[in-house]
Parts: sequence; structure tokens; C-alpha cells
Amino acid sequence: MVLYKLMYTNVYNKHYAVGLLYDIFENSQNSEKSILPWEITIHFSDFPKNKLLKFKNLDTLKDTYFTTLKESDYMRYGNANKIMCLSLEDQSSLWNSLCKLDFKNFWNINSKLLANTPWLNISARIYYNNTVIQERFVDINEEGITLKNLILSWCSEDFNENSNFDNYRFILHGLNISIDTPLLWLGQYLSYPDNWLHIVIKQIKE
Amino acid sequence: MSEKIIVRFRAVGDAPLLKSPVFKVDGNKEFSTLINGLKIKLKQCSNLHFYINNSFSPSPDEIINNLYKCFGSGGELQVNYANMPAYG
Repeated sequence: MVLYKLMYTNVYNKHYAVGLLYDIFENSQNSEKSILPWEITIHFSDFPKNKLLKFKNLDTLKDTYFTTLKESDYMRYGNANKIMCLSLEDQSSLWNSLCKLDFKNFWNINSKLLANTPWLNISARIYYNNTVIQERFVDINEEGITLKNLILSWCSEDFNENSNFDNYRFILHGLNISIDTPLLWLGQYLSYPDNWLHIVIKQIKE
Repeated sequence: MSEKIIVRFRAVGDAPLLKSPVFKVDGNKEFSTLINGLKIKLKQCSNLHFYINNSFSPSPDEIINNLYKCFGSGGELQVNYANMPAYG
């Protein structure tokens, strides 16, 4: 499984998961503008080494995966101890099950990283209007907190209680997500394998 | 609108020290700006590893302001740098 797709075109120097790139670029509401299948330009020189991590071997990918996990762990618990305290056996089992798409073994370990509540924050990023929004969200443990609360908090310039949310799509793993979905549940069950929620917002009507 | 973020660099292990370890940087820039800036300051281009709060390495494309909002404390963002991989 390719977790990080290292695309390097003139316009896109990002370390994003391939599923996230799909959500950002897909345009299923407007088939004329649909960009599928992707046209990918591959360059064999001038690697943008100041922008992208060079893929040397599978260990590069493994290190990147674990440090991203640590960052999300730090977000939820204020430290990266849950990853640091995983036994070597658990670490390799987590990585190997991810590589082999072994759902059961992956969740045997990964649930140890997500199950303990309360969380300090949600480990989430919102991709909206060509920007990435990532902040603290301490209300995560309050009763009845949904995706809508997160959007009202992080995107307050564009959204308020009176906004017509039907004019937007909130996309996660290629799915349109209801803004009334409980946020903690999303974090525990719909995070990417790096334990971040990568939510794309698209406006579909003015 | 550019928001200035105070970044404090801390050397780990035997990494070379900076004369003045505190910088004000444009928060809208990516973390790679800090990586490249420090490499120039230290005149050392390879074998530098970067961490936030002695814990994890952010991706080079993360926005400095986002890192500050999530992991900053005391009005600054702490970035550790080391000559070899640290913190497991």
C-alpha cells in the first residue's frame, strides 16, 4: 500500500496520502471538469529536495509513517508516549499489517493508540480553499460534539450557525460525510492509517 | 496577511549551537523554510534531523502557523535539531 504518494509536479509538492489527493482533486459533481484518469508527469531530474523527502527505500516510508503517528499521538494526548511505549513487536506488527492490508492485526495494535479517552484534541486537518487548517480543539470530549462544531470553530470566517451547509460537501475517504456525525467517533473509526482525519471541504453552490 | 511566529531552535546531543537561537518567521510558510534556513545558518546540509518539542518530525509541507497553534507554548514554537536520529 502506498501511504504517501510523492507527487512532484510544478504545482504540487506535498506529502499527501493518495486517497486524500483523490478527495482534493475529484470533481464528481461536475463530470465535464472531472480530471480522471489522472495524468501524472514524472521528472527524472531536478528533484525538489528542499520541499520533498527523498524516497530511499521502504524504511524511509516506515520512518515517515511512525513520525506522523507520533504527531497525531501528541495531538490527542499531549505527548507521543503511546507510540514510544509500543513494544518492538507491536511496532513491526502494526507496520507489517499496514503493508499487507491486514485489517484485523492492524486494528489489534492501532486500537491501543486511539481507544483511551478523554482526548486533549482531535487529530484532524481540514483542506479548504487551498489551505490546510489544523488547530487545537479542546471541546472534543464534550457530549454531542459533531463535525459541525469543528467546522464552526476552525472555519469561522466562512461558516456560522446560519450557514447553509447543504451548499458544501464534507469529504472523507471519498464519502460525503454528514456534518452531524459525532466527531470523536470519526476520529476513532474514520481516521487514515496515520491516525489523522483528513477532511476536504468543497463548495458546490454559491 | 502574514503572521510572525517566534521559533526557538534547540540543539540536541552534539549538534552545533546557534549564536542566536530565536527567529521570527512568517507563519504562512512551510516547515521546509525552517529546515532550509537552519541548514544555511549551520553551513551543514546533510544529516540534520528536526523535531517539535523533542517528540516528532513534522512533514516539510506543514504550515508553521498550524504547528505553532497545535504545539506551541509560552508564545513560541520549539524546534529541536540533531546530527543523528533522536527520540526513537
